[in-house]
Amino acid sequence: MAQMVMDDDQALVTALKSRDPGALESLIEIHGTRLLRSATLLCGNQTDAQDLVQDTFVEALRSVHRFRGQSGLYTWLHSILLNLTRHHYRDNRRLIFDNELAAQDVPVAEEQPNSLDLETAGAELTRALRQLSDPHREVLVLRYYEHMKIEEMARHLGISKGTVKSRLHYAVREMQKLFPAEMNLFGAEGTKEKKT
Amino acid sequence: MNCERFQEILLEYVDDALSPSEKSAAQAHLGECSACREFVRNEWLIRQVLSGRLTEAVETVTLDAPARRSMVDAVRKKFQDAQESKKTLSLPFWIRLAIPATALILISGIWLGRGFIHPRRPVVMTSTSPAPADVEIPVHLAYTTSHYTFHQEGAMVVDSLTSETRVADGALIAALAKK
Repeated sequence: MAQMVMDDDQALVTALKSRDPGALESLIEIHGTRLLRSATLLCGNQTDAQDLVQDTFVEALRSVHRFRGQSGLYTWLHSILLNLTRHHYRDNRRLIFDNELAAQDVPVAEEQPNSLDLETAGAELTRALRQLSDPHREVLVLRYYEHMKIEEMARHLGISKGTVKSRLHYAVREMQKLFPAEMNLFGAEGTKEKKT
Repeated sequence: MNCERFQEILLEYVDDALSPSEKSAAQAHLGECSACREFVRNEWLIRQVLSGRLTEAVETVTLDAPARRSMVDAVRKKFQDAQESKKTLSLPFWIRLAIPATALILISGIWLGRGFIHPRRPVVMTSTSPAPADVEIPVHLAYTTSHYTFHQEGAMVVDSLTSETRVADGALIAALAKK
């Protein structure tokens, strides 16, 4: 399966390099939705996410000749997205979450704290992510949405594995505070405090 | 392997990214440590909860066919605009080379031409200051040197400090301007 994806990637990259008119459609069809979802989690709203994903594809078209296939095509696209998202944060000085997801901001019924109502799940999570710092949000998205391993995350973010683990530790602790019923498995102290 | 080491590699263990020897050491430790087994279980639960939450939060975000078409158009337009502005900004190589070369020639010409436009006048020494003369300055130095000496008295080593004053006379020859 991985080989098939690799072959598909290679064929797509070749088509993009040769400016095949259908290549962009294929690229967006294959990777567009996943990138848009990741961008939505990273930047907090779908409008900015759309712009970021468009810019990601523009940058991909411009620099596809530099793609060497050392990572998968999606990972390469995602690294472009991550850079653009960081610039977006910097340009806007702070992360701006619009009300698009927060519009679903319906309080969870207190008597059912563990029930994951689909309509409120997005809003709840948006509210939680809003409270995290950018580096903590990035590691959460890469780890638990993109399902990256620690080593991949370190490469993707350009930081050490130790820093990835440390950021993850604090990010998870923050989420434990925000979702105590589901995630405070070891109590308020977090998951990795040494038991003595 | 102890608990501390296991904590360090917990995430790699869950990722199944350990070397075979590390993996078997970790498994051996887990066989005898219920606390670390609990950490592994919790790591899996955290993964399950957060992955579920993140996936649910964006599962309605999709690029359907019309959205894809408009994205393709938008990307093409942005790409073409970027290419156009690049073309406008990028000049042929010989022009890019000629601009700094012309600037250099102009600056050099102006610099050299200054001599013709405003001929440099010769500098005339009008100062009345006298020529310097050698002056002899007598120098008298007196300084003290310290001497530590050690000698053995029975089983002990005894140190003693003495000092000696030294005197030196001489002269410095300096070139000073006469006032």
